[in-house]
Amino acid sequence: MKAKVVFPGQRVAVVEEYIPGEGTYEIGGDIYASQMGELNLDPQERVARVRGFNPPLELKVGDIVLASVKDSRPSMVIVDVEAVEGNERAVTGRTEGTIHISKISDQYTEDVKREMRIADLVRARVVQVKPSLQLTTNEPPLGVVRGLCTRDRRPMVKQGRQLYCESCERTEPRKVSTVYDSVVGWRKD
Amino acid sequence: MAETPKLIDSKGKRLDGRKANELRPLTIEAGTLKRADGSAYLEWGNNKVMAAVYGPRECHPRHMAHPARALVRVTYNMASFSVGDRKRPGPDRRSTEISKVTSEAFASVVFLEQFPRSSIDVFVEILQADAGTRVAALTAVAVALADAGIPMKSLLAGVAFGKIGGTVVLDLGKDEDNYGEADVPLAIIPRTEEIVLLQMDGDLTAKEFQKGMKMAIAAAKEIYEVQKDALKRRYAVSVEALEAEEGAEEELKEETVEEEA
Repeated sequence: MKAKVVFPGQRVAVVEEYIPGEGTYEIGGDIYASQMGELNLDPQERVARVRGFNPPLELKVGDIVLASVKDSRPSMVIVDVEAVEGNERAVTGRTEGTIHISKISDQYTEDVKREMRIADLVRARVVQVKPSLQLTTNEPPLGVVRGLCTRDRRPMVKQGRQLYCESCERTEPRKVSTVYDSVVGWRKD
Repeated sequence: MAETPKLIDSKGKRLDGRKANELRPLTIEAGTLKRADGSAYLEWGNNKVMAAVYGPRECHPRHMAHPARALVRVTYNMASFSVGDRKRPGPDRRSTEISKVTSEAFASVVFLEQFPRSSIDVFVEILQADAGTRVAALTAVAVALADAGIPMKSLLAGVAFGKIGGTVVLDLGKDEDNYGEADVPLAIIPRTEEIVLLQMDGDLTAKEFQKGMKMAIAAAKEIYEVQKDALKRRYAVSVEALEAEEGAEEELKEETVEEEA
């Protein structure tokens, strides 16, 4: 396949030969690139695509994300997706998602508040994007990666399957991730 | 105007030695800001402009969001040290207007329907001003948007033409703008020659306008090449990798041909 760099507004193909795919648009029978990137003319499917060098970051099913807990309801927690693992770019589109009580842990969850608390940082996987953003934390490396003490709001340390606040000398239950406290430098700062 | 300088001599040479249809030197660099999703730095004559693009991202305040498409919000700002006399910092009538018209120019080329409820926030900082900052800003923003990978119909090129000493000329400089008779900033889609921004200060006859328009369209194509070159340099690594790959594939093809032979 021929690799070629194209710019927005550059004609890349004609509709008689190709179907306009991602990164392209069609006007008057001609297909143009809508972003700068690598042109890919698929000879099998007859689709013209342009793969951008720096595409906007949209959430996909299967993405591992870092999210902060905004609210907790009896049957779910509401989180704000802050970043996608392995990508420095800010998230495009709707960032507010929910983690249903059944998807918080692989064990039985009696009370959402025993698993996650407001302002905790959670590592989660995207399971649905449309019609609403749904996440899950029911894998060992997923769950709370930074929990704040509900009394003094300081970050707590992992102690077995619970979190321990060093200043209040209290423990709190959480769905703790196996990578607790080690998710730093996601964005290369 | 006590003393108007002679803006253009009998040979058609301008104050800075340019011909009527000549642009000031233009250089653009893409991806200059690390924190922004897309950015560009531009020098056009004595203008120095920085542009940053954020998004598409969730629109704040929420009530401004459009349920079916994205918003383009350009904020044009002049640094207090960008002009001769210190400019009082902060938004004013002029910069609010420029922000509005550039937003509208880009709203007509960006595929807004692909990002409902979002906003594409663009910030333009004029570090040094020397006439024609709005078209310089526009040209920089186009590169920054492309750098941010935002889908659009085409890049936009900003150019201005005007009239000095009775002659229609391209890309007015500071004195030409101050003492000239007319100034027409434009934003043009280079390939289709569509005009997405047109303003005019001063008077021109229909003939003069036509003449200026022709020069501006030719200039837009020139500017488009500079913009493309800036983007090419920004993604030089990716471009080189692609070209190397292509070369390798061709070699491979040649080998198979040889084998067959």
